Amino acid sequence: MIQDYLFFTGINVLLAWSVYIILMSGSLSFANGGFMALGAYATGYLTTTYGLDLWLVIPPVALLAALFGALVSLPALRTRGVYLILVTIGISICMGVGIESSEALGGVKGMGGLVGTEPWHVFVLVGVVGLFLLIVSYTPLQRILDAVREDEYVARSLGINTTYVKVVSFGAGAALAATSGALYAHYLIFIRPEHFNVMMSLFMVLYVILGGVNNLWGAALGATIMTLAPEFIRGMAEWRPTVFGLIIILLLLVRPQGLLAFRTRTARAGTRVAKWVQGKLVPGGAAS
Amino acid sequence: MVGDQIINGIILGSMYALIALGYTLVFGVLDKLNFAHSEVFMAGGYVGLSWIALGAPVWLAIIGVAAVAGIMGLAVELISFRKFKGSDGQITASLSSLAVGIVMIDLVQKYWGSEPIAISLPVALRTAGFTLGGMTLTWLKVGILGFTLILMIGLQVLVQKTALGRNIRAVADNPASASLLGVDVKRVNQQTFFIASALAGIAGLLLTMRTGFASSDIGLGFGLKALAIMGIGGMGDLRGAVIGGLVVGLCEGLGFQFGFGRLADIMVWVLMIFVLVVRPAGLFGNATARDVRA
Amino acid sequence: MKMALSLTNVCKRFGGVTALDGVSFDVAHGELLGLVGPNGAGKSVLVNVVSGFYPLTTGSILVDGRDVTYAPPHHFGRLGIARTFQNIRLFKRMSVLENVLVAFPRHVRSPFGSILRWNRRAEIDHALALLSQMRLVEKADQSAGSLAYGEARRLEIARALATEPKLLLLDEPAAGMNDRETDELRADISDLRSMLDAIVLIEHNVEFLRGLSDRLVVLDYGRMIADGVPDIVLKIPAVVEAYLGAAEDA
Repeated sequence: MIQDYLFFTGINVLLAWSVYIILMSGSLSFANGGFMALGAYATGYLTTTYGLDLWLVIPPVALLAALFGALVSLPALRTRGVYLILVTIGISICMGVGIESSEALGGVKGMGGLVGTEPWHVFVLVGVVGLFLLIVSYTPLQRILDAVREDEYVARSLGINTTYVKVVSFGAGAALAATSGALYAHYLIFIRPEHFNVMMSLFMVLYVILGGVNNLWGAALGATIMTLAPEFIRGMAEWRPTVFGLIIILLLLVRPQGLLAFRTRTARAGTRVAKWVQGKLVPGGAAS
Repeated sequence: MVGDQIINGIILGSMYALIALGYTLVFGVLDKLNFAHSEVFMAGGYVGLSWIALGAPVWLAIIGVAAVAGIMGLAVELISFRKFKGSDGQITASLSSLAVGIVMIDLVQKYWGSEPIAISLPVALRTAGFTLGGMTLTWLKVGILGFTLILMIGLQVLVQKTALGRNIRAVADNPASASLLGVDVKRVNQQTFFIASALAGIAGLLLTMRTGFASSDIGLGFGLKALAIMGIGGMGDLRGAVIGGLVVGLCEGLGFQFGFGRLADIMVWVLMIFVLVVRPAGLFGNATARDVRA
Repeated sequence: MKMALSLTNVCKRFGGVTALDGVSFDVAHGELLGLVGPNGAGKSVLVNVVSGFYPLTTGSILVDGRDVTYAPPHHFGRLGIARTFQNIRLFKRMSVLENVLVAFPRHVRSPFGSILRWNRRAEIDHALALLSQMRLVEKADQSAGSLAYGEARRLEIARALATEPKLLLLDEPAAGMNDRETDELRADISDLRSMLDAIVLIEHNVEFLRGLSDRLVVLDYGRMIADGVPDIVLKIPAVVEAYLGAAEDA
């Protein structure tokens, strides 16, 4: 049982990060439930119908999801704000209905016989993705993403190809959501379209909002709290959506940045400032 | 057969239109999306069913639903919109109202259960009727159509001809200058929410009467489609919401008739994505320079 | 001879409104050009056109002899055009240092490659050099949002310099500054001339430009009404009437 909790926590952390990766470049994606479904069903179809190895099919499916994500983001990124929310919700719903209508994928009845994921697979992936995001947060890439998110117009004037940055981050988020979907499906054994409905997309976004949108820890914290808390607090499991919803409502009223609001500096001058000033007693020259 | 589907499509469309009108009223006035709207619509079905179960006649149930849904709207405005102003609050308000919607679904399921509940209406109301040019019309269908038409015309008159409507239009145009002209913006926001939510609640009851059941998942299924219709008709465009609703309802009615099945359900979303990407002002709206700034 | 910047018959219309009407001028290498005109004359529209944000209605733009009329906005930055903004637009959530670091061309050109290819120490030193040029080095680790008005303006210039531009567009850099700050800024801009190929300085206030700029271009209602040496241009009756008259009202 405890293994199950940890597994689902890991999956939800990965999904929250898939939203966070897209959010890093300034887009709020409600389409990640759809990308997750793509990963789950595409790998499920290949492993059950052709008997292929799960680890063999995940990379190409993740790549496919990345391309698909990048493709849908191209038109979606022409819209902004609430329009982007609408477009990504639309993508999520279209994916769901598409799967329900497909007999090859089991339609509304679902798809079974999916095995192969062990919980530790997910823990390893959480570690790898977390480490990657942590490293990125100290590189120039983090600054560029922050710039695109904070003021796209200025970012472009500096020479940043903002469309490219956003499309790639959309693709990366889609690939991560699809990979998580594949692992999730092959742990559950049996999946149905409603595992990946709009609600799933909404929840992923709300994990990130709960934890904080400015750093990778916020997304992980939000997903962990919302997966584990209901299991360990008596009576909360039954009221999970209500409690979750109320927490989000209250949080947005008192602390709209989420629980963890800090942003890590990508670089600090620190003592180098003093060295600089000592090296040249009067900095700039013009002030003298 | 085709005639029946046309009538069914128009009824479907008129309900989409009622909900979409609420979305678009709120978006027009506050420039924000109210995601709780489709759940107020969903709850409207349950509230109406309860009034009727208590023995209220249909007309009284409708008034009761409008009042309860309107008050829900005021609550949503207070919780999710009052504090989040300006364009910075746009996303925050929509996320907050989304959370309100999630709570509403859960509470409805806790109280009424997650399975659909049947409404107790006289059998005669659902079956009695007449045929006209090959179409079977029940009094219920005629009543629903007539009533939604009255509501739409009523809303149009309210917005165009009354003092309240003038204030709503002023705030929609520019809250800051409306405020300078002495319009109480907060009050107008509340009035807008009340009207929009009352319409959604009534639509919820009408749909429940039409299908015979109230169900907790129609908010996300049926109600969100109205959101897409607002996107198609133009965000904040009342006429676009009505035309968009009717067109989508008709296409879906005919789509089911010609065996497109569930695929007819995503047509509206595909169309919305297309419209928002190609023509963000909506199919029927004038393209404005609002989003031109790079 | 190739010009640093060359505008030919530039027109920009928004719907029925003509914001720029047949503007043509060149900026030579080494030149500091002042672009003046009353409010609403089209100065800011011109900056947005030259930095690639408003596509032209008609006309052409050459940068160092290359036609960039139809280039996407981020190409303008990469071709060596940097700009500041009339209403200061810093990345407020970043530190002062990061605002400069973000603009280094090596990373701007390949954002994802930057995960692997970067040199923290060298980049910080380079950024500190630029900050010290704009007298901001002590503030390096402060949040950009915490800067005073004049400092924020200088940081915008430092950020623009970090893109290693050839041509710098300064959009009303002295707006909102007091006399002392204005004088300091004039000295700063003077110092920049050796680092840059050319500067275009958009100003509302003619006094700021007198003695600083080599040449003045005067806009009024989207049209160019004068182009020449400041002392001469400022005596042309049309300029005095259109511009100085309006300035006195302001």
